[in-house]
Parts: sequence; structure tokens; C-alpha cells
Amino acid sequence: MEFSAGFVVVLALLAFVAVTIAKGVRIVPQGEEWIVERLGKYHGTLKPGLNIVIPYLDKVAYQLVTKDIILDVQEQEVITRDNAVILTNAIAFIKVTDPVKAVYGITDFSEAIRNLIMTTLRSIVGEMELDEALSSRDKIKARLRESIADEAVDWGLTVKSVEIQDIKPSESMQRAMEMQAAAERERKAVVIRAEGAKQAAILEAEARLESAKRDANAQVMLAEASAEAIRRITAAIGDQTGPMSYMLGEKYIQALERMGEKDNAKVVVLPADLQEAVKGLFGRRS
Amino acid sequence: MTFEWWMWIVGGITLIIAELAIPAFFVIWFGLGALLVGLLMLLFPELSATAQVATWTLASLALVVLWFKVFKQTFQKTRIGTADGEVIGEVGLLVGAVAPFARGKVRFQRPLLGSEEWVCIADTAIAAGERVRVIAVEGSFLKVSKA
Repeated sequence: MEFSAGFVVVLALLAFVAVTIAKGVRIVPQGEEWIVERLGKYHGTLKPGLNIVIPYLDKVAYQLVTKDIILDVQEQEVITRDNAVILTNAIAFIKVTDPVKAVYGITDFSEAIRNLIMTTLRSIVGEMELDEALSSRDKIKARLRESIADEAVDWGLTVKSVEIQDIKPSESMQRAMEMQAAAERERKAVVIRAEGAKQAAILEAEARLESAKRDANAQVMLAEASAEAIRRITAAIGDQTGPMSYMLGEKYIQALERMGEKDNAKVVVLPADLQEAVKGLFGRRS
Repeated sequence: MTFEWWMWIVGGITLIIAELAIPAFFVIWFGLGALLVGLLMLLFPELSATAQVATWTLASLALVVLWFKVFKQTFQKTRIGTADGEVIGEVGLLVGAVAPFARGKVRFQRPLLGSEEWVCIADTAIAAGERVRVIAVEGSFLKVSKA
């Protein structure tokens, strides 16, 4: 088998054509855009679909994804204005809107934006008090977006949204906050208990006052009743001493009887002249 | 070196199938070229090897050129995922006046690029309340012109 010169030339030509076409036809998938450099300088951007470049001159230098890019901003410690340490991380959605700027404006735009978000987040939260930072995510979000906007223009990126994923106090801070909350509850419990005791004391005193008032009333009424009884007896008896002596004598004897009934009073001395004894009780008026 | 006609046919079919494995869209033209040479061989069995390869080369090149004549970068079915995105051409309401050196604010009926309201720039002064059309996206600013 021998090769004629013509055959070899044609074979070489075939190889040339095949390689040229292989390198010249570029199929860019949807969602990507490719940057073409001609002799080292930017020449053009290949859009999705079938594209032709000139091999040997043109070179596809970068293949860029133009879909939204999810950027995970790693967790970092941030110190708030009141010196509390909190941990935050964020997630950002960016999109390349100008492939040329994204490629030639910065070496690695994902890394750049991620770092930018981290530092900006730190400065925004650093201006806030702990409680404020924990409760105003939306404010942080809005300010984050604002501060990144200027750089985003230079890098041909659009920051679609930045979300604070997590914002939580550090472990020691969390412990301190829990202790504070527990102490607060305890304080409330003590106060409530003291208030209960105070209320009880007041009520008791009021009860005592009320009962004393009623006792006094009762005594007064009793005295009045006695006075009335005595008045009536006096009125009924008039000037006569006989009935009075009788009543007194009766009572006297009854008292003596009761004394006699007691176990420890065996000897009861009765006055012989009972009448005189009773009269004596009146202080010998008659 | 002799090629039989069936070698060209088989080779051509192999190349066309290979197109599926290498989605580069050029192998298929060489496959079709090989098929053409195979058919020619059936008609003129006395074709020299050089002529065969030359025919193959020329036929393949012609098919590629022909294809690119027929094929035109026609309109995109969807602009989702492209750099300009589907934002260009959207009409919004200017809620903050814009001037060449003052940023304005534009509001859209439905959220665009993740937000309803965007800071905008423009080459001419446009009063608030006008309808504007997005002509470019520049980072976190939209460039607008009167709609």
C-alpha cells in the first residue's frame, strides 16, 4: 500500500477542515454566556444557541452562568454596639447582568460579593443594639442591599436579594440572656408573694377592727340593757326595801347553794342573821 | 489503500451516531458527507482514494456552509437566564423623578429581579408619575427611558 502525494494532501486538508469546524462551532447552552477574546482582547459575548467563532484567532476565555447564583455567606461573629456577640449568616441571590464587567471588572465576583456582604453585615449590626439587631431583620436586609449596590454596578451584577438566615446570640450570651429572663421571673414571683402577704395582713387587721367594733357595740348594748333593767326594777320597787331584800336574799342563798355543790368547798359558813347580812349589802341605808 | 462503498456508508452512519455523543454539531456533516461518498461509489466504483477523500472533505464543508446559510440566530423563545434577562422592555411607573444626575425610583406591577421598586437612572429628566421602559440593567440600578 502506498500513498500518493495527492492523497496525503487531501487527507491533511480533511484534518484541517475537521479541526477548524470543530473549533469554530460553539453551542452555548441556555443559562450561560461565553466571553470570546480575539488575540487576547475582548471581542464578543456568545449568547445561548449555535455560534461560530474563528478558530486560531478567537478563544472562548470565560464561560459564565447567567442564571441566579446562590451565594452562601458563612456564619460570622458580630459585635453589637452594646458589646454583645451574635452569630449571623446570610444568603444572597445575585445575577450576572453584564458578563463583560463580571469577567474583567473583578477576579472572582462570587468571592468578592460574599466578602462584601460579610463586612457590610458586620458594620450594620455593629451600629445596632443587641435587641434591635435581633428584631429588625428587614432593616438589615434593606441596608445590606443598598450598601452593596455601588460595587454591584462596577462588577456587572445585580443583587436580587440578601436574606439574613440566622441571627442568634453567641452561646455565652444566650446563657446570660436566659439567666436574665429567669431572674426577671423570680423577681416577679417574689413581688407577687409579698403583695399577697400584704393583702392578707390588711384583711386580717380589718377583720380585727370590725370584730372589735362589734364587741364594743355589744358591750354598750349590754350595759344599756342592764341600766334599763335596773331602772325598771327601781321603778317597780319604789321606796320599799322588802322586795329588794327578798330578791337579794334569794340570790345570796342560790350562790351559797352553788358553793355547796362544789367538791372542794366542804365547809360553807352561813351567816345566822341572814336578813341583817343582806341588809348589810345595802350599806345600812334603812 | 482501497475503500469499499459500504465502508463509507457504515463510517457515515457511525459519525452521525457519534454526533449524539459529542453534541458539537459538526460531526453530523462529516457523516452525511461520508454517506454521499458511499452513494457516489455505488454509481462510479472506479473513484480513486484521493478523489474519495477530497469529495468527502468538500461535501462536508459544503454541508456546513449550507447549514449556516440556512441557520440564522432567530429570536429567542425565552430570555430567562440570559444576562439582560426578561427585564428589558418592561414598563413601570416612575414614583420618584429622575434626572441625568439624580436617581429616581421606579415601581413595577409585579416584582422584577426580586423587587418591586428599583432605583433608576436616565439620560433625560422624567417627572414622577410617567410610565417608563427599562432599557438596561446596571448593577442595582435600572436605566429607563420614557415609555
